Amino acid sequence: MNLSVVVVDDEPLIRSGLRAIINAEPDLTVVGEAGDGAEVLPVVRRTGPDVVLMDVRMPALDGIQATRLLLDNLDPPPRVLVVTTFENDDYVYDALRAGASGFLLKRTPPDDIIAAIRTVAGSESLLFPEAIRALALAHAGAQPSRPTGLDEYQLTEREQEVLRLMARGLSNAEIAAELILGLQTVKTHVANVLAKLNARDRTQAVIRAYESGFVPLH
Amino acid sequence: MANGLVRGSARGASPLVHALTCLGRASTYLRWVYLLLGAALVLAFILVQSALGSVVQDLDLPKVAAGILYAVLIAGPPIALGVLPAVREVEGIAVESLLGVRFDERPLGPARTWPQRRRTAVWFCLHLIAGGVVGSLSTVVFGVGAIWLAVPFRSPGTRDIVPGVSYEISGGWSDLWMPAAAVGGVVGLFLLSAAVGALLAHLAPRVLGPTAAERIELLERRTATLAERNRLARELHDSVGHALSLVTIQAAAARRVLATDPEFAETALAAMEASARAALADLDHVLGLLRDDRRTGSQTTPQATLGELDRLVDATRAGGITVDVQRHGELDQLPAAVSREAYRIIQEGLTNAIRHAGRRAGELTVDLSIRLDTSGLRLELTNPVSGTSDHSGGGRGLAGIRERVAVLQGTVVAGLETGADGTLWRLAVTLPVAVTTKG
Repeated sequence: MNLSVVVVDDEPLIRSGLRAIINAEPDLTVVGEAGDGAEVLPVVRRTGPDVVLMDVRMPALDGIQATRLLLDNLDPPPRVLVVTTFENDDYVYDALRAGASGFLLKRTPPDDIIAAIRTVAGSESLLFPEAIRALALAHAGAQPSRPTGLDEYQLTEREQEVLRLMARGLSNAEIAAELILGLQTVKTHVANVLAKLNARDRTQAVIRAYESGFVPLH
Repeated sequence: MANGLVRGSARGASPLVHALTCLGRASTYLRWVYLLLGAALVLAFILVQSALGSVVQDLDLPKVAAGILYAVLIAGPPIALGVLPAVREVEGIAVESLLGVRFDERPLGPARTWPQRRRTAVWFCLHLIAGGVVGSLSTVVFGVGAIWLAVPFRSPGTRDIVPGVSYEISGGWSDLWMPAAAVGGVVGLFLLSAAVGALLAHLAPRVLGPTAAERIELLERRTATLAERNRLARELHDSVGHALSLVTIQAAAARRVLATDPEFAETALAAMEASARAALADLDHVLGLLRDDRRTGSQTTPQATLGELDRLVDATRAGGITVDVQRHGELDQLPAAVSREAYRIIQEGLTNAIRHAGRRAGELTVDLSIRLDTSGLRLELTNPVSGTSDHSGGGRGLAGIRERVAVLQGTVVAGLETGADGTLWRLAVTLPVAVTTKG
């Protein structure tokens, strides 16, 4: 499967580096670049990529706002993979809450950058489940949300089990093995969970699960 | 103590039993040690005073004059010692470790102001008085107690039980009240010592600790340190973090395409070299700020003001950049705070200009205009930029400048301007100033 990527960063040398790394893969292609969040929407409209690599801090429009813009204006929107210099960047979690599917450190080795793009595009499993849990934990104090649970969404017992395993980072195939179910059945359950939670993808669903206290952070 | 009694009866226990539980606490004995320290000091003062007292006696002064002289002899030395700055530090350590008091200011520093020295002297005298009372009682209770405790073991007859007081020891049960009284005396001593210690522990933060105003000052100093640290963290994040991620990605990319696209690999190497060099320069700058902080932290060197602008400009010129300075208005009449901020804004503006000029620093001319009039202080930094120059980072130090100016309720305008001479980078800052003539 060929995947197309758009690279967004205000630093041209970061863009050219990422482009070279991605284009070196036979099945990945960089189809467009943008130097600021404000330029992202037209570029994505024109090129229709599967994945957008989005820098967080940019001068005019930052990565969080640009992510929102993409999700609000495109159907279906591309997967957004946030790229950041530092792990403890407050913006990263905001970007994930805004709808980004995962995040990537700029110091990530190239093989892992490629793997992350594939993971996010395939949406079969959660990217860096441990890091997402850590981020949710770090931000739990800021939002004094009582553990309300997810009762209002009326997930079936099976769907709840599937969501817990999604949070642990298991892929559909791994969930199928764990619960001794068919892969197709798991896919249906995952789709139902996402639909009931009104979540764009696994990342959103898992963040919801953490923030509601449905999956304990500790 | 009163508090303890009320709590005791509320719980239904006998107040006496409750009071006695303090005999089982280590803090009671630590506080007693603190009081004994005071007693030891009193003893030292008494030795000095008795020597001087005999001199006064020999002078054969009228009664009133002699009385005044005695009073000065008694109160003078402790007060004179109490106002020494270091006493606050020493008492602070003793009070924290022996009385178990936690001050807001930790550790308690030496007295810096006269009110602080006065309050320390008051505390020192309190320590001496309380220590003197409890210390002398301790001597009596233990000294006499030891004799009384031994009474049942002595043969009957008339003995001195207190120096100068004789008692008829009968040798029977009727003498047992004496050892009982000795034990009672010790219990009473420690109850009193616990009460006095609790009273001192209650007073210590008020008398020895920082006042509300001093607490606010401490807090402000701590906040300023924190803000400064955050600023440095941001500087490192922005400059060095940025450069290192760039180098990482370019290196990774170059390695991937080395065989297939050697031209890209060469460009990548050049970019890595340039960013690493810029990162080193930034690191130098931030470390310079850290060294500055240590200097200003000691509070012996005040922060630079516009008065030191020439030195800053000279230093910048030494770095190869030409700075053309124009001054208007009586800048030496600026309030010190505004002058300091203006200096730092110019410093950051010049640093930015150097940073963005990069390799072309040798050809760069920065125009700096400082104008003070009734509308306020206006700082303007302009320098030409080439078309390829990258200001997209939003100016790394610009965030710092904006924060500073916001505090002083001024305005910042920064950006590229296209004029007759090509593209210019302009930073304009206006600070409101109420100009007062120096009195």
